[in-house]
Amino acid sequence: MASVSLKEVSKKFGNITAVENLTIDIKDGEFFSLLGPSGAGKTTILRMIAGVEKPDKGSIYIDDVPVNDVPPKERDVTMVFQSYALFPHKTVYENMAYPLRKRNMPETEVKKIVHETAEILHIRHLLSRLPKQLSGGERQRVGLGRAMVRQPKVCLLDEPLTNLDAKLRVEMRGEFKKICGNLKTTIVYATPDQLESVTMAHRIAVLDKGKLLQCDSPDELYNRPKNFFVAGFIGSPAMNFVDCTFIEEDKKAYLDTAEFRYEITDLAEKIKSRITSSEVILGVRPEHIKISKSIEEGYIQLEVFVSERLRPQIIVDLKAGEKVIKALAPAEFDADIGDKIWVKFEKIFLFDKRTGEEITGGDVAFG
Amino acid sequence: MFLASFKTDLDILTIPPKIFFEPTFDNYIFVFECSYIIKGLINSLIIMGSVIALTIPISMLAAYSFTRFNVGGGQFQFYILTVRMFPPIAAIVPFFVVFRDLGLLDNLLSPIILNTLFNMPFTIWLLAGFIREIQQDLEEAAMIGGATRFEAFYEITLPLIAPALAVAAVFAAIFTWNEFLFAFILTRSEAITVTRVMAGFYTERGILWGPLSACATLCTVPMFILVLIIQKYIVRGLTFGAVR
Repeated sequence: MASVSLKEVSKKFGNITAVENLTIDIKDGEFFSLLGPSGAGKTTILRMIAGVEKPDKGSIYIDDVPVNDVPPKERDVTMVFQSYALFPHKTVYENMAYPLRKRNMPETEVKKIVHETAEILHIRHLLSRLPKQLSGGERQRVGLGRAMVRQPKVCLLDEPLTNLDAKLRVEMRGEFKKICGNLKTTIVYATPDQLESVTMAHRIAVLDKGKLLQCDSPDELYNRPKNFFVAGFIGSPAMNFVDCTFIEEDKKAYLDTAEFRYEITDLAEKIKSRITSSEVILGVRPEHIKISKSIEEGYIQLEVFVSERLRPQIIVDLKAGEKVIKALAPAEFDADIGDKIWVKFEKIFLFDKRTGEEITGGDVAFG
Repeated sequence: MFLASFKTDLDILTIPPKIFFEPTFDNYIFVFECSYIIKGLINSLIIMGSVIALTIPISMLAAYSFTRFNVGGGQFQFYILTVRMFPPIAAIVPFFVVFRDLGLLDNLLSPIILNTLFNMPFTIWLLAGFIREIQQDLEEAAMIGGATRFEAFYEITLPLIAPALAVAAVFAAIFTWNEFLFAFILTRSEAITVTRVMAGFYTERGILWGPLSACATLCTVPMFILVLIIQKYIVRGLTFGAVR
């Protein structure tokens, strides 16, 4: 187990900036996730930690030791590639034995460890096969097995579940969590799927276009997103965003949209001190919208656009001017297109339209 | 050619061509008695073997450097490719002078050096194409698993490009075996090659068709055997493929 640090690391490929001035501290034994869409820089970061890519600027530390010039074989890391990178001309056994043999382990030891690891991963019956004779899920487990046979300081995983079909992915997610939990190593897991990150990691670094947007625990990211991108990325179904204007009228403050006006007098001072213009974005999660069929105090009236009966939940799409706001409703809720219903926002976020920064600090909840 | 080698001169030149004839071994006897065929065969085999032994390892390492490290940033690669485009006959006079001054005329070294030089662009280009097909992931996985760069190349990439190496070897072998120009200019009697031996059948008395056919048949046999041997490796290698 080891801690991993990146200090002000930058990497460019030609004109494309893969990683920009990145500083991340990963704790010893932590399950750390790099989350972001394609092009965020996740794979580049993993490769730099592994040693197959050198940063243009900045330093990488493993256990507080700078490793910029240390070759991969001496870093004591293992990696599971997105493509699995299994050696096609070697059997499953030989693939898994490779790192052990490179450490000059006696063959009896090698055999024991490979068999044990294969047992855990349920691939013992595949040991004499070649990679081309395996299914996607089997190959993925061999890739994982090859990374697990040693007890490395750091285990790097690059989107290991991406190439699996949807059903298998859900199955493997649970198994992964169990297997990784038993490994006593620091794990760095890159994925574009926020669900994977949120269910498995202790902390997540949210990245976009090479920049770090927020690095926090899943709960913090969900409850207190620091900016627009993070708020929209974490949570499923995604947060709703509505453009509004912050106005003050008759000693009261409102968020004004085309469809409705939301009173926000209590927060007026706080908001005024943080925004750079009166254009803000209101963010509200579908699960924080309370729906009622009858009019109630403090509620706004909106029209039903469509309702998606997911079973057991229902996602109700509500029209708000040009936009659609999605709300989660209980299973018994029944509404037709065009019905007018009443909604109340239980928790809102406000984002400065220009900077994307979150203004309220995640503390605005209405009872 | 094969049939002609068993015909008498008269039968060869008859029009229409004779399909049924009385075979004779006179041509072969003539070849063995009156020409340097044995020496030529041995020399050509030595040259071919040396050229393959030199070209393949050097080209393989060069191709690897070009694809993985982009040595010379494309300029150097282009430069090497242009060597291929260069007509050998335009360079033969300077080569002759150089080898004469080095005292390497009529020495096996000259055709070996020149053939290696002129075969390398093609084999480098061929091998580079194959190496590019091999995912870098595999080598990186090996390095992270504990291999040095060279070990990753030797244990992972090399077995996977084996069919390409076999193909490159065959091409180099065929080009070298058939090579006439350098052999003709740079050798005389000691380093005589099969191509020169065959040329010897163009005499002042006319072209000796019978013996020429016999000689040509004899010279083709080693290539036949070579391709038969290597073909097994090409087929075996190609069925591995890369796993996607």
